[in-house]
Amino acid sequence: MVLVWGWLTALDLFLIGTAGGAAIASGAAHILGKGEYDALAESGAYLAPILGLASILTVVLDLGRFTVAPANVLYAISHFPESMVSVGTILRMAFIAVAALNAILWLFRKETLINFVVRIICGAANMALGFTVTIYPGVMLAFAMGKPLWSSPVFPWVISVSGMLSGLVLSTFLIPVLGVFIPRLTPTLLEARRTVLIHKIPEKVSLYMSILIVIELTLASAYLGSISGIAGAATAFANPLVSMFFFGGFIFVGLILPLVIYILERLRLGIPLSVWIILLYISFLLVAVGAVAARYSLLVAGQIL
Amino acid sequence: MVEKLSRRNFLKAAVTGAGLTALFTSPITLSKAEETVNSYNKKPKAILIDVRKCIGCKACQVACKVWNKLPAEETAITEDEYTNPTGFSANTWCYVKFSEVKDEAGNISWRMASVRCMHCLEPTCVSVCPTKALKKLPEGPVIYDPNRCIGCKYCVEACPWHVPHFDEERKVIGKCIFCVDRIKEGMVPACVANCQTGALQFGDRDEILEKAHNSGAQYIYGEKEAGGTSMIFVSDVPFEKLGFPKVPHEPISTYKTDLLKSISGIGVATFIISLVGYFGVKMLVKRKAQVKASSKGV
Repeated sequence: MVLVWGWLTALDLFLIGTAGGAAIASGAAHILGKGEYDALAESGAYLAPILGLASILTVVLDLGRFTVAPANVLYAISHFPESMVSVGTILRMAFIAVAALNAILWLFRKETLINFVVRIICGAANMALGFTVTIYPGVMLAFAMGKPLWSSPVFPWVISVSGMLSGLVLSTFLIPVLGVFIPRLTPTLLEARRTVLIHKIPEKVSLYMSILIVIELTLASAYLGSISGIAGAATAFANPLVSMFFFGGFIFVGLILPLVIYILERLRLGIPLSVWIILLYISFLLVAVGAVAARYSLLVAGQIL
Repeated sequence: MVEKLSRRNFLKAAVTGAGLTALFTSPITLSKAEETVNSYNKKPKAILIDVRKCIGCKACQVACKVWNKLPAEETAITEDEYTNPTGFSANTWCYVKFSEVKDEAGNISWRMASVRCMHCLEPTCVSVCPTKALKKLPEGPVIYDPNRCIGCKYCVEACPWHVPHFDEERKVIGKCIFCVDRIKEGMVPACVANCQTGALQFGDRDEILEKAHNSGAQYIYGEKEAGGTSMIFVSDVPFEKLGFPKVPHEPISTYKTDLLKSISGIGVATFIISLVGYFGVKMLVKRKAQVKASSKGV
């Protein structure tokens, strides 16, 4: 079986989805968090443009036509802005620009009202654009009429919520990492690391992560239900590569296992808090692994049929 | 007296015979079918493919390779089918699909169908191509400009018939171009010109459709699929049995609009249900805590 779109495309979908998710997490933490979750807002603000740029790099590598592609992409944007790839390119560029601005505002933040208001506005714009880049890859794939497994209207939402999940957990994961490596640049993170916030944020994030996992599990079931009538769908999902990554990687490792860890944590089994924090961070990593597996398995399944 | 055939005369006769055969069968000569199309008009064109008449000689397959100067590829006989090559590639734009058909009594018969790009009236590949390297001409052909292609392969994934293929070496797409160079000169496509049994016929789409409906065939494919195509197949057995994909009848524009509506609907529903669920659970937990607190107080 020759895959037209393989690991590089899956990686691109993961990176841009996660970048969008990080932007949403950052904006929501800043706007709704009343200052308590600024460490998450800051870490998400840094993660979004970095992953966005990395996704562009994977696209360039995937296209391979280094001499022709850039000029033709510009030609496409200027002449055919209505095409789905042009829409995606414009959204990505706008997202990366706003996310970069947002990151700069966080990096050189001042406790002035104007700086605060600008960060709120930028964060809101970042959230909106972040949402569009989480759902856009799914819509783009769904428009490929020749691939019935991608044509389900639930499909873009499975991809989108997965991006939101991985963006949220990786932003949280980055808080202590950033706090360790660049404490001077990140006063909020340093403060978070020194205080109880470092415990509070993952605990709170794990609650929202569980809600998103429940939504994602529902959407994944609805997606499987929506394609059950398509001839050959069962065979595509029974393919060892697809079933391993979809059911094993995405559903079990990426959704069920982190949910089980969260439920056990809520049951307060007398295990020390530090152990739970480590377990929560592990569950964040599992969600991210599941998000990669989701994209790869869905890409492959769609191409098998 | 019987004249003996000398070696020189034999060679002369053989070369003349081969030359004449080549003249009347090569793709660049006018065949009977070709003579019928003597003037070029801009009306949408189509090919009628009568599965009942095809004998699987693969002359169309060879003619396509010769006319378009496509290199031969190494193929292999697979265990369960005689179709060879088994599908399209960047260098195979037309091939003959062999199908074993079993009737109700269990008798087996063969059907052969010459397949190529469907040249849809509203092509999905053109619709998704970001740079419009793929373009639909009013006469029917969907053509390709390699200089505009960025190699995104979206067309490869979008085509319901898996026609466009990507040449990894040259980084370009390969697909049938409906012999646009020939039909613009008033000639029929190379595959049609070389069909030995009249299984392939070329003409204006409305005339071809009329022929299809008057052919007495029970099944027609390509008239409505994906909003209509330029390849009209007629058969005496259902096309599912010939391995043809079931493609929605709506054109890509309607398909996209309907899909976007459904995606938005699902999004709104998911958002509302999630909000209700979240605040519902939150209220329940709060209520439980209140009850617990009040019972402690009592």
